Amino acid sequence: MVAPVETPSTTERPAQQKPWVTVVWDDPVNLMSYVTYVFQKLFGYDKPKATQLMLDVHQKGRAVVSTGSRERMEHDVARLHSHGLWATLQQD
Amino acid sequence: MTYGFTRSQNAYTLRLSAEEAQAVGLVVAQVAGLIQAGDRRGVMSLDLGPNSLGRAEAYGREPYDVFDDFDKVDPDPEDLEVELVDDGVDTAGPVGIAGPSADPVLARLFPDGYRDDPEAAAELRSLTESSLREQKIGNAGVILDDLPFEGGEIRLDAERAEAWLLALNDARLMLGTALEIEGDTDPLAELEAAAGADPTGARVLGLSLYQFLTGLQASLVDAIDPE
Repeated sequence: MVAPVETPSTTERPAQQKPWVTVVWDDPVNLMSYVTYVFQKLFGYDKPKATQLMLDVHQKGRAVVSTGSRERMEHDVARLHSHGLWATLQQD
Repeated sequence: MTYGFTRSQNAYTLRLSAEEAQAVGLVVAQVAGLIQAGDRRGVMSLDLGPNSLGRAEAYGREPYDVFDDFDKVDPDPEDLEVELVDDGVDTAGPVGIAGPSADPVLARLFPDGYRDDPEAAAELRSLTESSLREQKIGNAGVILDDLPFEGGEIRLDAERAEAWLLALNDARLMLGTALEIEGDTDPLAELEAAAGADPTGARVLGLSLYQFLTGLQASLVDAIDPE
């Protein structure tokens, strides 16, 4: 093990560690079965998990569908847009 | 009578009449045309809302004015081919990069990726929008290639079925946005109301197409991802 050369700044660190999330918002056109299918296809979720996320979107108006780096979430948002879902990313 | 897609082994099968194929083709060609033309060019607007006069308002050039005199349209399948040609519209250019489109349909098809940060949203848009446009136009092109315009049965492999699924969704997003479909909208009740107001109006046509495409897409989702 090697000791760290410098100690990370305590003021920066919490911000850096805040994860980014991809949020899917409810919309009146997308079919529930289609949204469930897209969550399985894009994120590899099994059907029960994808169905629960779809229901969260439908009933609560939004659901976090993935978490990770900002770049990764931007990629997920673009993939969701290509499938016609209304998605955004934000730092949680 | 079964309606829509069925799955047999590795193929997805769909039977459409000539009229159905042409109706699907016109809507899908309209989506592709709208995406390809981009916004802020005065190409067209889809005014199918409850307060519309029942006619599609078109202005400027109107290459895909589906909703005017639909019954009289007898499209030549050749006319429905959408190609990624250089028509002077620079898809990688400034169109749409600055922010979401002023056109509600395009704004729905290409939403901001950041909700409260227009600058970050614009930057992400500059990286992703032209590729998204190409994907969506490409998916629409698959439908237009496959549609049996004379009526008949088509068989799709998994990859083409996927393109159909996404392009049908974009077509429904376009119509749903133009029709101002809300979460609590009952499309059949809307259809009755619109027919009462103007049986030959564009809203009746738009709602009928929306219903038809909803059934078609639902059958394809069920075939790809059974319960």
